[in-house]
Amino acid sequence: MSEPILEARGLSYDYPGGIAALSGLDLTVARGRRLAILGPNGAGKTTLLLHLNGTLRPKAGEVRLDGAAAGYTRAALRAWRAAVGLVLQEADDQLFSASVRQDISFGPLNLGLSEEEARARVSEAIAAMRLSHVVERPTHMLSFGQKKRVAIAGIVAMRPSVIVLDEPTAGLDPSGERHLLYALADLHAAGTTLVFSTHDIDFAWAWADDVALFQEGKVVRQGTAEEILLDAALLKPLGLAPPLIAEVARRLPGYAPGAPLPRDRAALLARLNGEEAR
Amino acid sequence: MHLIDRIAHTSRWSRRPTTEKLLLCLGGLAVCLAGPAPFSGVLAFAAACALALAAARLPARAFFGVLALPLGFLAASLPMLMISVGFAPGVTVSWRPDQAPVAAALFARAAGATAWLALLILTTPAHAMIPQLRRIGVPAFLVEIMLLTYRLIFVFAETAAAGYHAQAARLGHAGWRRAVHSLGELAAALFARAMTRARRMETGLAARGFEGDLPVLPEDDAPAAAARLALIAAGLLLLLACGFAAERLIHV
Repeated sequence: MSEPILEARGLSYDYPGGIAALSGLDLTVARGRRLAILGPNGAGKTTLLLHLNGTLRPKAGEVRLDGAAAGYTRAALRAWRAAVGLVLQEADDQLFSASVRQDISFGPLNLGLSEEEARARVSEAIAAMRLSHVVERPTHMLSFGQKKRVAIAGIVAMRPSVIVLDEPTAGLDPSGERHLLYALADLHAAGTTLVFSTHDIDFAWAWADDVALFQEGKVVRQGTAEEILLDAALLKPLGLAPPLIAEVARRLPGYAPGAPLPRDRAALLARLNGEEAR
Repeated sequence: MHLIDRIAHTSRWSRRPTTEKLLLCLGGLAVCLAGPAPFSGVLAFAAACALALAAARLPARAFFGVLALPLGFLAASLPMLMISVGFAPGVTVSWRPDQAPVAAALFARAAGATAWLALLILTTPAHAMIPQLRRIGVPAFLVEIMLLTYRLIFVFAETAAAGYHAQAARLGHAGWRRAVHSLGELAAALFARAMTRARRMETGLAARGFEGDLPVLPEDDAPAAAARLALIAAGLLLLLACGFAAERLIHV
């Protein structure tokens, strides 16, 4: 595993009223990888993500950024948020301007960039999130998936090294999801570290390099997607089962234990077709 | 609101320089008010309609639909101008047909002015118009609040519509009493939702470095051409001159 870019050590946090949300949580985000935080809805995944950019301050424990403990002073938070971008689940919570360009320009201008540089960042983010065909439309005339990509573009324009996404595919239709994942794949290929929360094990299998299993305020286990998602005994207490695509591929004739398994539908179908051709 | 906004974004003039549209429409409005009534009002009304339908190609239904409400109110209040109330000695109420020209003049001026405003709002999206306020010295925070409000109107309209439909699906709007009750509940729910939403939006903005201001790039407005501005000014002067000419011709 490459060096960690972001870590949480012994993180504890209580909701107002004293209900524990996180209790001694450890998490490691490796540079340049895609990490899925997998857990049921309402388990506190969002609370964890809000700690990763300093929105919430833990009762105990610390978040480490590039090996150093992150601080909560105004200046430290500014540097932290420039390095770690956060995309909320609901795009409408993030878009405050009716104009796509204006909204995306907000982050770069807050970084203190000149208008000219901000303009270049906006164009870059629009291209990266494949939005050039909708920039002339006001945000309230965009589809749910397009709004989501505008919200992400607002973060991308700040060029953070880590982007944290809360349930990125929730509520998206298949085409919206495809567009989003293509754009995220581009970002990942360009070196951005991605962290996302999800309750969908098939999505985690298709998309994550690493997986952290989240339950009752703790990361119960973290490892590569293969280590975590193929371990039926580990998943069972959480009411989960290994991803369907992996299960099907493992039962195909000619499968050698330990051989790489297909991650998505297209790879599984290709393997099935290969079997038939033989 | 939705209709006006949609047309403002899709009309043929929506990408024209905002400065040009502001000069044209506010100038047209000034002509209505400064020129001799009712002639200038009638001419300006006709000019605004011609530009809206022939040049900006606004859908006639929408354009006159936007005009219908204010003009309807205006028309309904005109008879009041022809009633005279005296207080001494005793209260007298009399019908004054001789006041008809005053009422007609008022109607013409107001109709013309409304038509020019309708032309402006149906061709200029709000987020292009609001930043112009900064140029005339409106403080930045007020402009930011206006832009934010404009965006949130649509977010809340959607939430309110969904809430209304959910209530209606459970017969919450069957009958007047129940409808009033349901609307009250909806308003209360919307208020609570607005507060949570505001808090979540603060989190989202903080993630992008929000520290109290909402700086954004100015809209890429096409630059206003000096020649076109001059042409607009000339056209407005011509309109004003026509008003005076009509007054003279008709009074001779």
